[in-house]
Amino acid sequence: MSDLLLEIGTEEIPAGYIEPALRAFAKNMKSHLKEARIAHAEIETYATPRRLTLLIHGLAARQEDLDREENGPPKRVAFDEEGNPTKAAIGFAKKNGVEVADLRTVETDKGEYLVASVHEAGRPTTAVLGEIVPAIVAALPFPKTQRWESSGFLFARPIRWIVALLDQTVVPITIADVTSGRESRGHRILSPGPVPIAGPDTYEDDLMAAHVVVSPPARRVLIEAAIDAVAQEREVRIIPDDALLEEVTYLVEYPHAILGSFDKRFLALPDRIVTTAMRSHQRYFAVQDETGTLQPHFVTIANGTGANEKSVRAGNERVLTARLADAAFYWDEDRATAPADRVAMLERIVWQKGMGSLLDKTERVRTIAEAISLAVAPSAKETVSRAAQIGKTDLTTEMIKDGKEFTKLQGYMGMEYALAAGEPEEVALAIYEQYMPRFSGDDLPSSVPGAILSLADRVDTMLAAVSLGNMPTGSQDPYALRRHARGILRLLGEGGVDLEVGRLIDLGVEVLGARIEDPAKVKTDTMEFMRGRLENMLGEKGYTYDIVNAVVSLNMEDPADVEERVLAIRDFRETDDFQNLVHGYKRVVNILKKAEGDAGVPDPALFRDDEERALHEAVEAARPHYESALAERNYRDAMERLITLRGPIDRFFDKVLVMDKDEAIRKNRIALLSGIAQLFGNLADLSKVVLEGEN
Amino acid sequence: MALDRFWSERGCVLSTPYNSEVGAGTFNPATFLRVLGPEPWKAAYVEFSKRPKDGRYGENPNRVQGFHQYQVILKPSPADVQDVYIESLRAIGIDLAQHDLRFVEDDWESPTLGAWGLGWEVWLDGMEVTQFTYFQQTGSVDLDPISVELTYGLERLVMFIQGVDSIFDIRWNDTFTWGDVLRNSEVDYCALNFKEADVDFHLGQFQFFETEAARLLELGHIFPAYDYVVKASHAFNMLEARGSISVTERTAYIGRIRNLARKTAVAYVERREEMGFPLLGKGAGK
Repeated sequence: MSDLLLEIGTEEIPAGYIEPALRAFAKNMKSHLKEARIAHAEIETYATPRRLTLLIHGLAARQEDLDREENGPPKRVAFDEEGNPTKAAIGFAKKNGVEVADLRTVETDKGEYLVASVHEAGRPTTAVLGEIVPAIVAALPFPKTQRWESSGFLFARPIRWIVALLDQTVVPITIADVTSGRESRGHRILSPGPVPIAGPDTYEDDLMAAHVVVSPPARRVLIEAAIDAVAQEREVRIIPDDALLEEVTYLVEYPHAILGSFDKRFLALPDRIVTTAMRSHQRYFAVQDETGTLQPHFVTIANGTGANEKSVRAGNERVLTARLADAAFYWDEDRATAPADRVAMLERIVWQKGMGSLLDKTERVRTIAEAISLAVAPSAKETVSRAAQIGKTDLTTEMIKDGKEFTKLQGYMGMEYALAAGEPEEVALAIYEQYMPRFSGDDLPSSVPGAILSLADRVDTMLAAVSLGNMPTGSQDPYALRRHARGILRLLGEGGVDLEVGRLIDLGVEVLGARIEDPAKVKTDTMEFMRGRLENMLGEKGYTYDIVNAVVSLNMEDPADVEERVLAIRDFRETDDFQNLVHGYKRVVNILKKAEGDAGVPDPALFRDDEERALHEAVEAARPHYESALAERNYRDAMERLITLRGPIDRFFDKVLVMDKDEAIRKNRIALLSGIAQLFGNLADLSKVVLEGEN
Repeated sequence: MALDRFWSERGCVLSTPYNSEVGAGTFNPATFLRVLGPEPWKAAYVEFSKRPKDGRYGENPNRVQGFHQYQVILKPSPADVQDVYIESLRAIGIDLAQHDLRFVEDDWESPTLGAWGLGWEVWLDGMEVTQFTYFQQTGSVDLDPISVELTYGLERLVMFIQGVDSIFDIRWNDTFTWGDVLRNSEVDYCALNFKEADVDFHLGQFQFFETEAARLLELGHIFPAYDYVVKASHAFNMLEARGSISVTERTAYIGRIRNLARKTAVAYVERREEMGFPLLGKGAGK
């Protein structure tokens, strides 16, 4: 048993690419080794921006041997009349590396056939590695790949060296224009030149001596400790940021934390401007005091020992100051024109071709938002109206127009500029919250005006896109319609805005007016799309498709109500009673499908059998409770009531033939069944529920 | 000048800046056309680059509409290109032991040129000083061999070396600053770009340049045709800075320029092929 060290040395790979690639590297190695019948123990992984490494413990020296049977030609073809082997037999033996004399015959239902017992001796692991490693490396997943040498090999960035050591011996492997050896590379500046690796067991130490901490978890721990140390000196803390920590772990090989400072005057800027300037481009950690107040410091993770700390700190401080100065310049310029005075500027910005300018969009959103407000929260109307009117004006500010890191503060800047101009706080908050939820799982707006604005904006965007035929296809959703649809459903559902989906869409269609060519079709398509999203969302919550479908196909106007119904039905699903009830109900539906005409109300005088009389009585006994349970949205209780009908329905179908010769009796029975169908139909279309054993 | 010496010693043709407005050294035919096809090429030159939208009337210490790039193009890309680049920084007097050098992911793309590549922004102590790109496509044509482009931001580098906080304070020599030399024209050009440039005139220019480029391409005059592609691109930049192009129109204009760039690229490769790629085999020893 040996250990194999395999290091793919590269130019700097993007931080976000590394972990997924490393995971795939180990996984694919494992499956290739298994397929190649090479035993091994644990596989360790290492990575820095310049290397992806596997350390495979307990690797067998050879493939395991393989004994297998190969099926050959029929006996009658393989031997001539004298019993001598034909070309077919000789060829088959040769192909499998055995003598003709060693071939056996077996009896099958198609006659006698030749069989060869083949013994395949395992090849040395080193030879197999030379074949599988290039294939594994070529198949590593990266978001983007490039070529750099004449063979056209594709990888995240150029591969410049390969270390492949089976214990102390180099395994020959060639990938692109690079051949394996034992020389790795250390830190670019601190340890230039080749770094010979003695063997797999010294890999970590050899690189440590060359200023490379090759284990990502070890690097991460070092970074965290270093950050704590520099922050404690100043009695401050960094604002925890796990994603950033993860990213910087893959940006450096030898981490060193440096605390830098900036002029206090920049703290007059809104916090998120300052933290965005630090974080999004420069990858600095922001710093706060014990009370959570932002401090004029930052922590950057440099790649080195810190011997050059003074000049590195000064350089980084200069860069951040330039960015903050840019932001401060924008902030001052932008505030010189109040949001209300920017509304007219929106006319110059095209929102979408055929759907007018941003001013047109603003006017529509305001009208829709006011109407929603009137319906669900009349007292909020003034706030909603004002927030809608000035809500998009931050798009005319330099800070947002910049097109760089501050652009993503859209909405946040709208809020800050509104506050700076003396707009009421609830107006400013609604401007900020109009974009919430920004992504799946994001918080909903905390305020009613924010929720109303978000709904109005999204429904307008959706209808415009549907009308223009910009529906999502596959993974392409350039107008983010799926996100908007989910946002709307969440706002109306868990967000508690008491408005029906259809009503919202009607409002939007009405306000878009002549811009929509075929309003009826746009409404149907949008409803259909929303239905799909709702089914999808409930599916993600773990509800089965058939129950969701049973409820949604009935009515999807109130997403919260839909979920309550689904939940109630799911809770009964596994019970025997429920299974039988649905089975009976399906029979009811099938019979009604065949029956013609209007059924009317059943006349008890026309009942002939006890079972139909009993069913009728059970239905009428259940009805009042059932209906009041529905009215109270107590769907569990409603289900309980339906369950009481299980026995009567079963006995009815056991004893009663619906299609009686006598038309009056027949019609009366149909009337009884259609009464049941109506009853059930107020809860859900249970005939869509798939029973055990059904497809 | 130290960069000239450094790259000249490494076999680069010291080429000249382009004689018409460009947004980047990439537009210079010494890059755009030469990276096409199989022939080797090495060049280095300064390019005065104009980005009308970036002007700030000389009030922002870090942003101007006209600045200098030092452009190096190496075809095919050498295996030790990162090390050579690092050497070039030492050659201009940067003591890397005193600084934090990083190669930070950057996917470069020029939709107008139909060009893209992968590489990095090179950071010194957090400041971007160079764009380092392995070209994959230009003029919508797949490249083989791959060229590497190094674009040094000269103002950024000099600010770094001189330790000044504003472009305008850069010491051009012992007597004059960057501001002394260029502030006046910077402010004037901002006025032109944002206010005075006549929209109809530039729209007309764009049309004319586009037609002229297409006509010259038909006649097989590739280099002059390319001049008009570059001019059309600048006319578009002017229109954009004036704020007279909407988002949807923008895509269409870019598409028109890209289309011309593609035709030029294809014609250039065909021409070189007819000539039997005369530079093949040159400079292989270096």
